[in-house]
Amino acid sequence: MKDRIKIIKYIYLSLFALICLYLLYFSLFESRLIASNSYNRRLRESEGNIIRGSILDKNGEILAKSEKYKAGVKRTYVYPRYFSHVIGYSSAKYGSSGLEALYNKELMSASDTMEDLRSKINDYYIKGNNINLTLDRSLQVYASELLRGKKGAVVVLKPDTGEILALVSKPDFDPSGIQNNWESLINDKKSPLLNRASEGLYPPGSIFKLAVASSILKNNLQDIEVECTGEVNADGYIIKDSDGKAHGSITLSEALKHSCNSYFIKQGLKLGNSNLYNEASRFRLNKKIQTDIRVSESVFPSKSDNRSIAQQSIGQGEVLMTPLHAAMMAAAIANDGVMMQPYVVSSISGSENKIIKEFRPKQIGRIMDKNTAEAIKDMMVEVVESGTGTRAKVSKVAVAGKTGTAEVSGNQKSHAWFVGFAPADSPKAAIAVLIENGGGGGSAAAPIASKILKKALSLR
Amino acid sequence: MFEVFSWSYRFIYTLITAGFALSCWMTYYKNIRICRYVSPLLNLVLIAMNFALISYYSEPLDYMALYICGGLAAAYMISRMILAKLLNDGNCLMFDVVCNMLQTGLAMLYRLSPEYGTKQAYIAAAGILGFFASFIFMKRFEVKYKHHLLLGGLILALLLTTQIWGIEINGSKNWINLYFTNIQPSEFIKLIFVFFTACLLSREPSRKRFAGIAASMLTVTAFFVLQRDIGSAFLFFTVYLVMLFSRDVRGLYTAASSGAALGGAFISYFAFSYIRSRVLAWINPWKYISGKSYQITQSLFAVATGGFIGTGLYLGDPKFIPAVHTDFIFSALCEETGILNGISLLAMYALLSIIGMDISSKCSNPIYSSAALGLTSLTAIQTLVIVCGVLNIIPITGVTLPFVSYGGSSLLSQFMNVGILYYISTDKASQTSEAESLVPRTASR
Repeated sequence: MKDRIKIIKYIYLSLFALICLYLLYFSLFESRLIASNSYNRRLRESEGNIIRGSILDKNGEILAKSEKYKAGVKRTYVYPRYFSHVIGYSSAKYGSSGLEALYNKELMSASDTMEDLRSKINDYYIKGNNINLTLDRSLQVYASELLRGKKGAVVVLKPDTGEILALVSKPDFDPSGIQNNWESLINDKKSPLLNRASEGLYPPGSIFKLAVASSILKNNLQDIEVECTGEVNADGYIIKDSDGKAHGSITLSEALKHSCNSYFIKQGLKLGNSNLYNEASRFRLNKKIQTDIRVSESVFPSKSDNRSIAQQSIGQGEVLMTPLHAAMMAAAIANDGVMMQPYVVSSISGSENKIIKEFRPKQIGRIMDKNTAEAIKDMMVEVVESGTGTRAKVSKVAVAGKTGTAEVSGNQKSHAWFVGFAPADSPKAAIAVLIENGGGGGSAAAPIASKILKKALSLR
Repeated sequence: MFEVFSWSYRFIYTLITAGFALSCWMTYYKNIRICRYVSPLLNLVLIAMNFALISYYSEPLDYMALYICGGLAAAYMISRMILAKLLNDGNCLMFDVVCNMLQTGLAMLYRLSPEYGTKQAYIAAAGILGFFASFIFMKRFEVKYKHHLLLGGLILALLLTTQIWGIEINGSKNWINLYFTNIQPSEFIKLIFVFFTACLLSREPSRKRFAGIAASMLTVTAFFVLQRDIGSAFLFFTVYLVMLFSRDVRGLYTAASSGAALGGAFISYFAFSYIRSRVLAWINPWKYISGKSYQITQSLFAVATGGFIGTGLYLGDPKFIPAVHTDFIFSALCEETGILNGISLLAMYALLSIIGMDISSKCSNPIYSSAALGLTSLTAIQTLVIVCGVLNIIPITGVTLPFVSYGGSSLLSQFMNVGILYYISTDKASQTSEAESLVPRTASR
């Protein structure tokens, strides 16, 4: 009986200790994301004597700021609709979203503790910390305008660092009008509050062939000639090439250039589920992507039946990706096979623009070796030069790219995709363009990508 | 100006509560003489500072808060002196710990709502009286094996009364209207139940006896499930399991009971929608954020916002959490005084549990030893259940945080619980007639 009591005693003791450890873990690792949930009504304009800090673009242009008026503090969004999803909103009644939510604590606190205390005692206002972004205001506005009236997303990355230069999601909303339009915003069937660029999941279609191509190269199957008759029968399920066109006997580079479904399905079946699944995992599908905005996890289910393998080899079936992830895929190929962690906040600065915290580029990991990356890059240049992506051309610059036309269920038009980067030999910008129900990738997405890439390359 | 005080006070408060916790643990482990004086002193400092800050919050000063402050400090010191006289060794550690929890709760309740705070202060006075009353009652009246029928009858009568005349408050039909106030009989059934089980377990367990215990256990649990008081059902059953485990040498009866409990839980999950919705809210709180998980997510927001040292009293928004003054007071504490203070508080509960377990293993009267185990388990398990609940480690069950949450019946019953434990810790309890002779197995050597 006594030893039983001793056992119980230690069980209680260890349970209490475990809760204490969990509390520590919770506030170190989980509290930030939880506290920034838009349902948390604790996020505010101003607290006591602190006025919410500003948000600036990469060139120091102010995007959002708070000012004190007689009636209280007012937050102004200088380019209201262009940054609605990244910056988000901050409302006393409806909570906040985007960076306003995730960086609420930084925006609402002062770097100088003594100054904070002094202002409390003497009752004057001080400003919270500022947040400096990697986004370029002019590129963001330009890309946004190109998508006007459409549903879709654009993501522009710097391949060697992972800096996000533009992150556009359409339709957008006016963050300063959130109080008055709340009901219509949440009931809108086009879901304007959803950040399609990082949280929207779409079938990638043919842009996923880049990952399959990588697996083909790694398994040394690129020189095998495959006969394309215009359609493939995978266990009774027939998949056609676009317009049922037969490409004849072709190898990888030709197949990618014309986005030949039959080739990739036949090679995909040869590779099998485990090769495809492993390659998808290396590209970070099914995995959480570490970044400073909210992202959804891309999906590549492990399926062993031929019908599913056939569909997944061409990015259909149950494969889903976010536009941000698609841009990362292109950026990794541009960056000699190394995927960088995407990020949108470059630094946090306190009073007198003193940098308190700086965020440096981080590697996610190597996806493929340099030679594989070079080989895919050359094929992608061909795609834009004389393949399906000719409308993505930019004068005097070699663009590498891949189009995608992802079929959707029902009678709706396909989603149009384009991913790529430029200049091909020393990439400065990687891009993903998605137009929901836009039709063909080569006709709907590639021209937009061309314009945005041109603009991105003209920036300092 | 208030904001400055509250903002800076967080640091001092965190340090003092940690110091208090440390001092109490040192008293327990090393029995350092000076700590015996440091703990009550720190307790008084906390009472004074907390209520001074609360009083300063309103303009002009809130005198009620100051009266409570003075009353609490005086009641604490006087009771402590009386208690030291009643005990042979004069060790008031358990009382210090309990009063620390009480003052933490009172301060937070008064901050949340002066009305609740004031009411709780009166209840606390009654609680301290109940503490001494139960100590003295136990001294006069010895619980023997033959009393089990009386105790069992009492439990059944109280359960039936609640079932028939009970009224529903906050979704559970476990209250009785006594005209001047509402009481929760389940809080008092707890104490009787522990003694009832202790009586039955004091004899050599046989299949027949086990069947008797199991049948009465089932009856009690079934009543609670019917009254939608899932917290009590869980609490009673686990306390019963722990008590059984301490006596059940081969562990067969414990295993059988656990199996039955799992089966029962499984059936009730499908039979009762209110249980199902809590489990769903627990598994995916973010999915039902504006519906059935509203409460738990608001609680998580509070804890997440507070950080290590909290926002400072009055500078957070714990009122966003529904039922913050009863079930969710721990989240409010974490938000405004920080999780470090939450950890100090948990360290106090842990200390309370191990002191209780020591009392149980030192007592040579099997009934009292089992009872001490049960009484301690009541507090320990109830704390674990509600703290894990508000942190979404387990589904939320509506029980109070002992000595901290608002609630008349529960505070009174918890004080009586500790009063009885104090009696069992005295030598007199071990020298009673039931000791040793009846159950040779538990004899000391």
